[in-house]
Amino acid sequence: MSGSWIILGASSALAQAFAHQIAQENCSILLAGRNTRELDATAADLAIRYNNYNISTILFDTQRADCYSALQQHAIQLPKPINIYVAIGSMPDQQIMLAQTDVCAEMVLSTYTGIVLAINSLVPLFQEQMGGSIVVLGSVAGDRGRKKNFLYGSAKAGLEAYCQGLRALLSTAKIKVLLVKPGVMDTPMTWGLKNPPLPIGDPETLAKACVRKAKKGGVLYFPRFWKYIMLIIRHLPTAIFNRLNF
Amino acid sequence: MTTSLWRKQTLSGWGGTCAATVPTAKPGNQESVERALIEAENLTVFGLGRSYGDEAVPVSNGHGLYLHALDRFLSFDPDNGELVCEAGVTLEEIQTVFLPRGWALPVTPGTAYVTIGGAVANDVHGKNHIRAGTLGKHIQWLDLLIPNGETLRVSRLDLPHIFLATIGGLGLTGIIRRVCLKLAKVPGAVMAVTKHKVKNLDALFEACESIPEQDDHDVVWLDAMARGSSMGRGILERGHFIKGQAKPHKAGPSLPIMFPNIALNPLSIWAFNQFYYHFTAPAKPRTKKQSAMKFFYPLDSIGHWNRMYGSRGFHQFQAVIPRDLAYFGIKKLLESISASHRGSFLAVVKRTGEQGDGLLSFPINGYSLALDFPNRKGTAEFLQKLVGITRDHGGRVYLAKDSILQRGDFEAMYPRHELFKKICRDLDPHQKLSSQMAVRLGLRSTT
Repeated sequence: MSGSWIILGASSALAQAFAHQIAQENCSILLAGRNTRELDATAADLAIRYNNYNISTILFDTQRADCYSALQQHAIQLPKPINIYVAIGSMPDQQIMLAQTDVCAEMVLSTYTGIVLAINSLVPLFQEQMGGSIVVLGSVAGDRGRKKNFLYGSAKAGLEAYCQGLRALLSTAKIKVLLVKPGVMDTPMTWGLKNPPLPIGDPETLAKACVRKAKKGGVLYFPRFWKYIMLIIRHLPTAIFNRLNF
Repeated sequence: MTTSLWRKQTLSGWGGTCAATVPTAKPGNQESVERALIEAENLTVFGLGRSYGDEAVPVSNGHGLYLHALDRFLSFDPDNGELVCEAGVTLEEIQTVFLPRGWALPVTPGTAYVTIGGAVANDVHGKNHIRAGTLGKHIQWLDLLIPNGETLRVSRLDLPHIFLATIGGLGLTGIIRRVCLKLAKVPGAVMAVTKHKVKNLDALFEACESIPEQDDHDVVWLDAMARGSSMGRGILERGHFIKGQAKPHKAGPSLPIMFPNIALNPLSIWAFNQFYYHFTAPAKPRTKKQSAMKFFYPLDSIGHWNRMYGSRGFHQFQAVIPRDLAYFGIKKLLESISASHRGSFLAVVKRTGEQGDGLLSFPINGYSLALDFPNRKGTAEFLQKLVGITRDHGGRVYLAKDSILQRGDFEAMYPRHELFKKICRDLDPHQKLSSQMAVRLGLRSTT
């Protein structure tokens, strides 16, 4: 693999696992995220581990307007073709979001709007090159708005529609768009949560699947059984679905 | 949003004889480590769980802390071999990344599946102790998160008393965040290994005493069930690094289930020892090439090998006896094992060199003997007997392996414990850090 990967939200466990996979393929990597100290540590680790010294970091915070243009400026200088992997978003408590406008707005900005603006700013770059991949982490929560989690879910659903359009727009430039829908994953984020009694996904296995599927695009459920669970949930009659308390 | 850091986990020693189920955090970044320390009481850092006894087992109302998600290399200087990494990096990762580049851990224990933080907290030693000392000798500095929330960089020059209390300090002085250690330059990832049979204890000591002071790693696998004139027979393995690359090593199969408790009985252990002595080494010493990973970590090729001992688990006993009394002490230990009809699956003898500067560092100039015993009725009492013999011969028991030592024995064996306790009192007045071992040995109180 040649060229470079921009990783948005690079301090998340899933993004780090992905970075480990592509660092071995010797491409340039730009780690972007809010905590640059953590990003620098990850960059140093990847460099030493895989003898890949083409790794840089940049502050990227969806809440800060100046970060978008800074990202774009940095991306222009990266070796072509560029690829992007997006793992940002936040899932505050829904009750708090319903009551507090600012918390809800912040969630939409980091889970939907910020991603759209960041990728939009790179679309001209993508259109100039032939080939490349865009990988976006969505969620099974976006497949159907559930009572307990529909605010976050609706932002993820918006992301899916965005990816569909992006896929169409960039198809002439042979850019593949992959939307990943992870179920419950074994990450520090889910460590302290009450998780459903289902097998938990391993970040490394997902990262390998992302590398493989990035060349094809489409939608990836992980672990795979979520595809069938969501198939059932999507097709539940509304009368029944509304009574379910989840 | 702040999600909870804690999830209930059962933290167990490698021997499977001590465990606790407590809220445990697994931080994914350095900030969460600080948060965990603030939220927790009686916190025990748990690396990869290779300490055999209760060293890394929290007290019943305590908390656990995994650091293996923080496992990044932070810098490496190819001019002098200085490596800085986070505490959760494993020895296996260090060897895998650096052996092909001509660098190796200067000191390594018999398993690579330990974190560097855990290795420092036990001041581990290896088969080259006589020449290289313990791991602590090669540690340049540590970043230590102390119980009041501050992070201190400690070394032999800065806050040396805290540094030396942390080397071998059982994780009781603070949370080790980052480690700077010096790797050793090696000619390759391969070793020339020679096996010599030694026919009894006299021959064993003769062979060990004649070990030349060179770049060698020496260990004796001993048949602890041999009696009479062949008592102390074994195989001396001596290896040194040579040029050449090894195939990337892969994790081998893992024991998927607990063996029945009966699987390791005196008869099967006797049969194994017979086989090992007679068939794994040639009658005349011969030198063979072997990958360094295979030489240093023979048991790592079988995941969860501790399951072999069944659900009751096992005890490991490791003692070091000063050189002038070592022959008599080890003879006495072997005699009581033989008389008790308790087999040890694999016994290991190593020569050890000068004592390190860590306050609770284990090795002293002499001989170390390590033995495994299936956990049965009376095993703990029997081990107390071995502790007594060790103490009578001026020796000490290795805390990384221990779950039975009593406070009085510990204090007699580790004369620098008073200073260690004083440093702990200053650093941790409210007992943020604790463990079952710390309480047992009087290094922390029960509340």
